[in-house]
Amino acid sequence: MSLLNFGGQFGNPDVSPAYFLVALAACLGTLQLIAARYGYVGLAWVSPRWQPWLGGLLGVALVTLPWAWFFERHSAGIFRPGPAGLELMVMFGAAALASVPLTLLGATLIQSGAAPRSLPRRDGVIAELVTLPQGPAWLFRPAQAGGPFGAVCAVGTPGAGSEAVIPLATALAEAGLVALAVGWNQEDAWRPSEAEALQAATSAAAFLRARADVDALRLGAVGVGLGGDVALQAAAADLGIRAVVAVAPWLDLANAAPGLSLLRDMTFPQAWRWQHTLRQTARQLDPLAHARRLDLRPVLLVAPEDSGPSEGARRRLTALCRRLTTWRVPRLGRETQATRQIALWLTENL
Amino acid sequence: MDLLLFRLLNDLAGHWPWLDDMVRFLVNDYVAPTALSLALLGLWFSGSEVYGRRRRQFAVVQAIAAVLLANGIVKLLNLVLFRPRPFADLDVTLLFYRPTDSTLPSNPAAVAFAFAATVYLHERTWGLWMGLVAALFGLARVIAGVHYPLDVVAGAGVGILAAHLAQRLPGLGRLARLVIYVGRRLLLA
Repeated sequence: MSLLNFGGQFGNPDVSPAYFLVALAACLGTLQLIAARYGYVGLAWVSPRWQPWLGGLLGVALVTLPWAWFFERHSAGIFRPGPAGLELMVMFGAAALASVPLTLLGATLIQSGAAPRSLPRRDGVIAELVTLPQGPAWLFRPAQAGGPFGAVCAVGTPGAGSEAVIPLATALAEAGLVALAVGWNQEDAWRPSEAEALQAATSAAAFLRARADVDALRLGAVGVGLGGDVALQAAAADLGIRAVVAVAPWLDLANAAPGLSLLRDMTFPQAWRWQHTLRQTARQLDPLAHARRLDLRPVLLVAPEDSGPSEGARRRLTALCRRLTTWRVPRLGRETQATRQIALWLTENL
Repeated sequence: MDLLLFRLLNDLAGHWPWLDDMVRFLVNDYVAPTALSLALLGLWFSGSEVYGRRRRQFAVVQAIAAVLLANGIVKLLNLVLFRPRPFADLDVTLLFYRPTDSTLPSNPAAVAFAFAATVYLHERTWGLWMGLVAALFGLARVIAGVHYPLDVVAGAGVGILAAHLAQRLPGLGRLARLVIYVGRRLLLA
């Protein structure tokens, strides 16, 4: 039977319920496509950091397959007078509204605890769970014997867990560095203050320095999102940190009420709990006020074209750090090439 | 001219099953309007830069207003203007059911172009793609024998006019800001 069997005389002529289901599936698919394209963790049913293509494929399937079913089963009703245009709009609106909580719920259920289960397996990299005073963290190290290796403390946005920095930490270990992916996703540490966030970064640095396979004189820090601000500020306070990478840091309060942007870092329940103290922590964390202390140490600012710090904040950082390098990347979340380049930059500057 | 063009396009129907299937796929009340509505949903969530996203979300609110406006204008015009459908006067190859309302201006074309034109005013690329969908929708309506070309052109004109009127609609900016503000508070904008 043809997929587009328009001449078929079977099926329920009243297509409204079927149309609602098709519109709902199409809305869910569109949101999956958006999640895959823009790296929204809080909307994605397949983590955009691990398999962006799979999320896109799921989106395309959800948009197209229900239409094939609709035409196959309801061709008789489709080509008869049906609901008026306004009724269709209302039905579509209802489907769109229903698709949003379903998407958020699905993303939360599917992605809760996904990071430990789906750690990327790479040849030549050993991943192990270690315990810091602030909670568990993932350590990635080169599998080959030898050393001591340079080491990097990788910090994600407080409240978002370590998932955002795990691909980066893996790439760093592949490049021959020991990397510690620090997150704050424990129930008792949902909303770390500036002091707690910096303390966690300091603990991570101390942990790395104490390891036998780490060259304590080759220590760096990298942070993603608000974690970039933490990394900059921790490096300003700790002269032993020789190089810093800040990926899409906030730098000022222009980005401190990001709404939907938070769903790029975390699931909806995490974001909901975190947003209330977000401004406060962002205000307390003021890396620009401390950036002068970075002075001649190499600093890499990775600024995605569609997010990241404001132009003014970037200029201020440029004025304060004499060895600042700025990279513009198209967007955050799927830039495996940028991840490798960051690893290479750190290897060269530690 | 209108009749000549109609004949030219409608004569394409009924010769190639694949073309008839494509026209039927596009001409119905579901596919193109839903595709355009999905584009609005995508537009609302697209982008991760706050200011660009706000501009797109503003376009979404304005597009909904423009569609309602276009619908209203067509209904008003239908009170004073009635042109029978092509199949009422001519021998046509019909690939769709027989609508009973006035053919001029084309309401589906007005709605589709209202969507596309509003988005085009804010986001060129998205607007052009949506305009392509709207144009194919209009073309399919002519090939299927339910509209004259002039109906579609007039409908497109109404849609574009509605898009421009929506930009000047008093209070719409405030409403859009309120919707976006609430959306941001709910982490959805």
